[in-house]
Amino acid sequence: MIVAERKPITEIREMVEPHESVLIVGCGACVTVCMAGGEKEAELLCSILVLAFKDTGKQFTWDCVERQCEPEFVEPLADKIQANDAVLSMACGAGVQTVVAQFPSIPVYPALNTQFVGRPLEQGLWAETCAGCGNCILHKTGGICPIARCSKSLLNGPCGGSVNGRCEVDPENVECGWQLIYDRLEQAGTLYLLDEIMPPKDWSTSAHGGVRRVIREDVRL
Amino acid sequence: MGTELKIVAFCCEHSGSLAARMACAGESETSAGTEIVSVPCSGSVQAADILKAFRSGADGVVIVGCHDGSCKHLVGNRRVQRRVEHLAGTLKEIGWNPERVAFFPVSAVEGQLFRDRLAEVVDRLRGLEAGR
Repeated sequence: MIVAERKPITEIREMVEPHESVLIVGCGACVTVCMAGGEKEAELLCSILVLAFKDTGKQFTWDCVERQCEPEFVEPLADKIQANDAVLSMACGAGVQTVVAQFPSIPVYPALNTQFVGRPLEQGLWAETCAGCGNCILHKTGGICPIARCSKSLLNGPCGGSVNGRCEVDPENVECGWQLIYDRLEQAGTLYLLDEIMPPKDWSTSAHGGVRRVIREDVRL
Repeated sequence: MGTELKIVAFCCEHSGSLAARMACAGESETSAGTEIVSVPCSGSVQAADILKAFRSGADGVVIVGCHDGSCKHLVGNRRVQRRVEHLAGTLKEIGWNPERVAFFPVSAVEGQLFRDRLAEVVDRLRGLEAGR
């Protein structure tokens, strides 16, 4: 899922300061799961802003949609959005941009910083597991992504900085991705997969390659 | 327990509520300025609930839960303490005094402790600038 976290309140305050009425819109998808921008968080942020701007006359209301990245879910908010001076979106970047695309004449502010694609390791802790590189090789690396989980995105084993299973970039917090891959393959009895030498990565399928699109001709109208 | 301040006390029904009842015996809860809100566990109190109380005009909010190790829901009391600590940071960011929120533990039979702790909260609130 997409993992995001709320911007500092001071930054959000600055964004909404010029407006008299703001609609805070949460999203029921990824940002709900990572507790950054769901219904609970939208209601909470609304109260925070009401108290922050107490006695100024500014109005803050909130709502939440199923998935903010799809126009069909955003459209029903039209009346509420148009009744306000601005929208504070608690969705990931995709959701914010969907609202902007639907309602281009109203200022839309991002309340979150979208971080990465990842998964929860424990309650309150999410880690990056997928870099969206556009060419998945998880079947060759025991289901552990060397692009996302090796700090250097190496493709053919660890660097010299791998010590006791830790990454030299941040030994305290980061495990060596390649140690994890090796351990997993060993456990699965598939270490032979490491015999294949992977060529230099073609990054054109990743974000480095520019703006990407996915097209399904069979379902286009 | 009379006070001119408005305080909302979220009280665990297994500890705080019972202690509050003991402490308030003979007094009208609302006339004392402290509104007791009974909850199934102090851990069920969310940050949004606390802020709603402030939006409704509360001068202070207390959450009264079980002593450490006594929570019927295991760690509900610890969860809410962590939540209160985090909320204190948010309150500071928006210019509100974080001392307006407090957690204290009591057992069901510690009515006097409830009174004493609440009195400390009231004293602290009286010393704060009005409004925030």
